[in-house]
Amino acid sequence: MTLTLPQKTNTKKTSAIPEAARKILRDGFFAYLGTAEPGCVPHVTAMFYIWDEEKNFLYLVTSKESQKVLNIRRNRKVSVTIDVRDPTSPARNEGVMIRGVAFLVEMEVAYEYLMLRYLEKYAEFLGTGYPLGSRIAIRVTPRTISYWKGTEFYKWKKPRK
Amino acid sequence: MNGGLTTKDAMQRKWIYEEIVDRIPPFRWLPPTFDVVAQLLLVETVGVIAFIYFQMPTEAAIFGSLAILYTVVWSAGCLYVIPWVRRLRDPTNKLERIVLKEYKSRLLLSRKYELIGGIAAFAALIIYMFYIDTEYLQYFLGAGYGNPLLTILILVLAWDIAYRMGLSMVTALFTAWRSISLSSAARKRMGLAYTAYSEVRTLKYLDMINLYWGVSGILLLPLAYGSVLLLLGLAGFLVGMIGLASLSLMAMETVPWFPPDVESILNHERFAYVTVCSNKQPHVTPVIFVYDGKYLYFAISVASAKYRIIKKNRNIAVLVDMRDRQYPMKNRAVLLRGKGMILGEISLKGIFKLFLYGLWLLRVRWLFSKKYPKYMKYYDEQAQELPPAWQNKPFLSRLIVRVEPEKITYWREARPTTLRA
Repeated sequence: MTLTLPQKTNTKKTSAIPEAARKILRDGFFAYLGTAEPGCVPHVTAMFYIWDEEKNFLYLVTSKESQKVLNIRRNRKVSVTIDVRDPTSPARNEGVMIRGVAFLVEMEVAYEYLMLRYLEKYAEFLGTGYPLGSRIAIRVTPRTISYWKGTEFYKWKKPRK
Repeated sequence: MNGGLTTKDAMQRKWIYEEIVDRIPPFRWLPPTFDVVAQLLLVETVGVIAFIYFQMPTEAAIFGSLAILYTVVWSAGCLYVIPWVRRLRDPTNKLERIVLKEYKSRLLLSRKYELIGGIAAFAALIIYMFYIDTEYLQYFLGAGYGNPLLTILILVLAWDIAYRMGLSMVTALFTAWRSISLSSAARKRMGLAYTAYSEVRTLKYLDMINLYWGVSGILLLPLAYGSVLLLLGLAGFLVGMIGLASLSLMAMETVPWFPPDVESILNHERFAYVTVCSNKQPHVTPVIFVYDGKYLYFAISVASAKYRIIKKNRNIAVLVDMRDRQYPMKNRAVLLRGKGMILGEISLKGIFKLFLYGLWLLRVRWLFSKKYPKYMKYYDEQAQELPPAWQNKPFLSRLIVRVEPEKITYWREARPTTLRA
């Protein structure tokens, strides 16, 4: 008996970040940030984010003492997934996964315009007495961006300079 | 109730057996592991001296040794079990905490219960040996029958055995009662209250000791062989012990692993975010999943990066969340972290696992079709057009990953609560 194993999924390589992926990054509300603890033990949390369209950066804001910040201090490789989920058909599920490097940015230094956008986007969640003081921003520089819709897969890789 | 003792001190009190071992000189000086061996040697030496001095028949030596062996095997279990009971941590559910506290205090604090079983068994044994069937002792003791020293030795041995059998029975009764009350208390959990599963698992191991005590009673079988009454008594003991131990284990199986808030998210939410890690690079992907009350299962394709990574590194983090853009209060999430196991691989090891978990996999498949009827319908209808890696063919293109949670974190709004698994 011979078993024919399925081939690798056909992933199409793109030279630019697909427009559909950009749309998801712009409109998404929750991002899932994966970090790794020593020994390659994964950790994942749901977070708020802002996508910087011009520079292709993703900003996430969190508290300074959280586990993910601790993990990033030790290992800067992270993965962020933002997706649109549809409980009726898997063909309509689409999403973006970013793999890249994280930098911790103190709030005072963080780009003011983006922080304003952040406060505006999540106004209902943050409330009036939101303490920005104990917060820290995580800036993710994408190395690869994968986008999928249904069975279609696209992958963008940051060109080497 | 405890006089001036605080509860903590009181929990340090011991069973009579342990106290004897602690106080009598040869044992007092030895570490606990050697106590058992020292006890075996001491009692056996006294037995052998008596055997030679009174010129007893050979059977007496063998059967006497079996009786001594029984007491020692039992004691070994006892020395192992007690420190564990003291180490148990309290459940966060009040009802369950009360059940466990009562169990511990009955087991360790009250001499009354401890002695009832022992004295009852001892009385029955004495009445049998000295009044009902005097030939039984005459046969074993031969010329020494009636010697006061030997009678004392026999009485000590009889007490040793009766006390242990009685205590085993009483302990097994308490255990079964505790398991049943714990299981019914667990059903009344609210919010985040629960008993950490590691504690439930510890209790289950301890219950195995009861079974071990029951089974070690088989060592006494040759002694009882000659007499119908003794045989009946021993059979009653064995059946009672094994029955109670199984009852207790079955009741413990029904205790849920997680608090209700966590279970409700796992049962109702439809998407999970699985994170795996290779070469220090994390990898997050959304999946559909089912939860069977203990483990979390999700399906992966053999062509996926997840499969390649999990094969190398079994550490997995799974986030299941309730998300709502309008109401911050409605945002909750559970993070489960633990080891994943791939089921359904076509390899020697994979096929062996199918033997072990095959029926369970059928149940998982059924859970999937119940939770995601539209998805499963889509996979069936579109089977021809889908790329091979997406087709829902068990074993060939789809594998199941089972995650055993070790750490649980629960978020309500943005505040995390860490729970022990």
